[in-house]
Amino acid sequence: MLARIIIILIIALGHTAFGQNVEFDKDNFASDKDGLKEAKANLKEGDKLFEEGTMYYKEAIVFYEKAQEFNPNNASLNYKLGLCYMSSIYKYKALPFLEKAEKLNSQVAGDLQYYLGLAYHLDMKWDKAITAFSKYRQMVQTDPNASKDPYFNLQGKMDDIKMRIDQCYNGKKIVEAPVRVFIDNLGDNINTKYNEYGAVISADESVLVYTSRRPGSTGGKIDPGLNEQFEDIYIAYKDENGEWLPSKNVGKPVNTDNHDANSGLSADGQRFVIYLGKSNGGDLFESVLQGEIWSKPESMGKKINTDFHESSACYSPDGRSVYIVSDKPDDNFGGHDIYFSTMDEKGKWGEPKNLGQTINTKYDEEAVYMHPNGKTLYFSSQGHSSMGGFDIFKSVLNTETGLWSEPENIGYPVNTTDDDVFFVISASGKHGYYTSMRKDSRGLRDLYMITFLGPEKPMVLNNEDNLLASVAAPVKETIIAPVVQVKEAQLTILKGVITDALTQEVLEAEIEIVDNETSKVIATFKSNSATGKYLVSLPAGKNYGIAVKKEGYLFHSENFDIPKAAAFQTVEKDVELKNLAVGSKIVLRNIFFDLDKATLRKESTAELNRLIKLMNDVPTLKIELGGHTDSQGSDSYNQQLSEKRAKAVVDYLTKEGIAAGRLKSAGYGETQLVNGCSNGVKCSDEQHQENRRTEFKVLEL
Amino acid sequence: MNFNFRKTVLFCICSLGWSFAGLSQADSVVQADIIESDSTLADKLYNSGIDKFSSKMYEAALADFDKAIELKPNFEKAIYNRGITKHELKDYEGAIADFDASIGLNKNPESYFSRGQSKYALGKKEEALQDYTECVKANTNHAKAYYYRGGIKFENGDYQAAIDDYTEAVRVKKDYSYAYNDRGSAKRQLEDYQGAIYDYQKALNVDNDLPFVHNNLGSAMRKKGDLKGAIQEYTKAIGLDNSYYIAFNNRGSARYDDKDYKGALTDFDKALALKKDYAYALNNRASAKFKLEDYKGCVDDCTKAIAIDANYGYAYLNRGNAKELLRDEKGACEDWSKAVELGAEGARTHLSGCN
Repeated sequence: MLARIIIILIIALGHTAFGQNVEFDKDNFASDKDGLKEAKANLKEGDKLFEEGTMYYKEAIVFYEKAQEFNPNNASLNYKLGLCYMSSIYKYKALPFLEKAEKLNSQVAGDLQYYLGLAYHLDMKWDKAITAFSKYRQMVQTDPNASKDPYFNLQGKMDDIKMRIDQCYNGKKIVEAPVRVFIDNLGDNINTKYNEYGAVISADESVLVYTSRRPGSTGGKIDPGLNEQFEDIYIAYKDENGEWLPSKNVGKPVNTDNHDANSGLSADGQRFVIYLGKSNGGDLFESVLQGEIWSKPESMGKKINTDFHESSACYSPDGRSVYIVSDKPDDNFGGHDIYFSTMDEKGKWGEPKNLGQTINTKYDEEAVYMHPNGKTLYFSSQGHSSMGGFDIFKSVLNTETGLWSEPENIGYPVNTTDDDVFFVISASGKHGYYTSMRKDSRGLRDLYMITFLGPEKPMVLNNEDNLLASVAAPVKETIIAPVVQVKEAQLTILKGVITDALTQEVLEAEIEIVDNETSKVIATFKSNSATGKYLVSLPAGKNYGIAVKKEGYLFHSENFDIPKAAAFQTVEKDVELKNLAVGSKIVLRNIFFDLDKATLRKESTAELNRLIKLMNDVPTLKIELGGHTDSQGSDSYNQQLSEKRAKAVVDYLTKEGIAAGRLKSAGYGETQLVNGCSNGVKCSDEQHQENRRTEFKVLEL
Repeated sequence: MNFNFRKTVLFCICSLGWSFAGLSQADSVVQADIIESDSTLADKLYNSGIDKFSSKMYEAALADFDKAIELKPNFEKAIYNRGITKHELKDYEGAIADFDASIGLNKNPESYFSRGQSKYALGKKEEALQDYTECVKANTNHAKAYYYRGGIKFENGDYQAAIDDYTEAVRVKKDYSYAYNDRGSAKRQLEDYQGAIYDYQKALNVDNDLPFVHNNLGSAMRKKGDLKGAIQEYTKAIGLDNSYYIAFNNRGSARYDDKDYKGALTDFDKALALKKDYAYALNNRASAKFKLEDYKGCVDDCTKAIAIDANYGYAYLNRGNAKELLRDEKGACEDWSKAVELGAEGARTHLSGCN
């Protein structure tokens, strides 16, 4: 009986001890005076740092943890440890300390419920978070002086709590329907045990640019404010197996002794935006890859960079527009907003315009990224239907009305209760890249690739029944597999290498993209002088003329007529430019005729104008324009048609002022097919199309 | 209900059908005066043939009918009964010849009906359908002719016309449980699940011990979204016939739809224990394993289903789904591609993510 009483007393005392606040007091630790002394010293050291502000919380944790080891049951220490962790990158460690602080003394601090709310929210304990935030709201409403902060702003706090409670409700809903993804660490060639973040990719995912605070940064200095290396920009390329090769520091002049962080990368990976925090409150610069060297960053100009904080930007796929993030007060809906600027004819960025209230909220919008389709904008926001901190959203531009769709949260687990920023997505829409801190992190923040699997692919079950009583064989159930919604990027990525046809040397050439419908030049790009590589993004729904030009060479033309509903595709097209020499021949892919007629269609205008320019640039040039048909129809009909069509081109050029003596027309009918699609051979329309062409041949120079 | 059971059902119907026809003829002959002459001897042989037929001594019965007809060439009833005997012996062509001769002597609706049965057995469904039509023209209350004609219309996919015939069958024979069942099935094919449920229940009101009707009722309920009801009916079917692998497979599917993936897995296991080469149950078990995140198990079951039926498009589709989650992108794309090739069009959209 006595033993039972003792056990009950021990249990009761144990419980009392766990639920009771234990001060760092000699009465409580009479048997370990030295230990208490050391613990109090650590506590004092920690407090000193704690009082210095959040910048020093990371260092305070070291001392507090030691004191906590000695006395884990002090409410104030648990509270402060919770706060310190909440301000660190290890936020998820805060909750147990804050819960314990509440258990030991729920009145330990006026804002305990607020931080508990934050910690529960972070841990996706939605209902507990809502309860904690609500308790805190009630407390400050009834006693605004509860906070000892002299700068306490009641209305601001009410707004903040409302936002967080809304986020909890959003989170509850979003988590119920997670998006199907694989999330993979980009590996040791990219990530280190230090911070990596801000990944941006080229449209074909072959180039990755990011920021890191790893040792060996340019200048080798430590940021005293953060006790970390200064930021530098790094670049990585993929090998032929699709694996990332070891990253390289982009080096000077892009990286400096100070912080250098990248922002948007152009679709072809030849140009990117740099954020320099030291400049004028935070400004944006650009650098261009010239061969193998990145040019010295140049400011994006006064219209983009203000005295306020311009934090990130990205290019439109044609490179002629940028989306910028700024907190400048003009035309602003609150915090950082997203703006849009277009390049003028002189190559200067124009006055940025706010994207409007569909995109921008009274909270911060950040880390903007335009998909290579030119319509889908990804950005991070604390507003809209965020489930906590910054979430990633997407909105689609209606190119006809100019209106943006309601931003859509891209879903959990890509979005979390913490800040989710710096998200970019491949042209195919299959892979996203972002910064996160996950279990398989090499240390601190790492870069990850998200593979989007799309909606769940339903399994198909099969059944049968004995439907007819007098027939033995069961009848199979008719199966209609459920339709899966496919959201596919509707664009074509055209890429390749431009070389000299004779020497095979890589060439830096100009690539001109023309909308054949309007004959307007949509965009111009250059191939890289060191690799000859080029990449252009062609959103679906247009008939594109592509002209590859370089002085001293005949231009090369390609045609891409991409219907609106066309699926994503990557076309690899290496281009060999021919020297301007007698006998040189090129195909004019963007000269179009009406069906079975020799009437030039208006979509041919841009190509014909290029031809006129060439004739004017080289006044001694004499050429032959040859018409070619496919093998469909009779030989004689094709012969006549080709002659008429060649003549139609010559007539056009003559009418436009080119001397008739410099031009000769020739019809070849179906005598010079470029493939095996001769009479009687079954071929696809695409194969026949290859044979239907107008050729240009140099006769004299 | 397994395949053998169904065969037994079919046999019973035919057997009873034929017996009825044979005995009815015999009764009329038994009552005739017997005179010792060729005609009398023929009648005796005819009666003997009926006895042997009733004892399932078909070859001996055939010999008696042959002799009777030899003695009395226009002995219509003997010719008719010989046709029936030949049908039992699976000599359908011979049976048809006898029914032709019988009809030549007397346009008896039973002869049309029986000829229809033999033609159906030969796969000449359209000709059988014509004979059933002739039968009901001659006897508008011939329930079986309506029923079997309805069956052919059902098989031809003309479900509404089948329903009309089954309705005639139950008009004549109000306790015709098979006709109610089949009419329910025709309604089900027309996606009139409520109508189907009504008819299956009518069939069960007549005979509550028909496992296939409970199964069919379960499937109609499943189609209508009443998963709990469906599971109950499949359970009743299984209670009446614990070797009914189709009902186990169907109950598994209902449990799958009800998100009871573990329960589904158990049912598919049972179906496979009863019929280990049941490709459907393998494919379905793979689906349950997929939902239970056993992707490797899913791939294994689909592979087994494909080994049984190399043209099983949906097993390829499902295997592709599991391979995707096992990070075997190439394998998944190959499977979806094969699925499309085999007609599982649902896989086409999956291919859009393949290179």
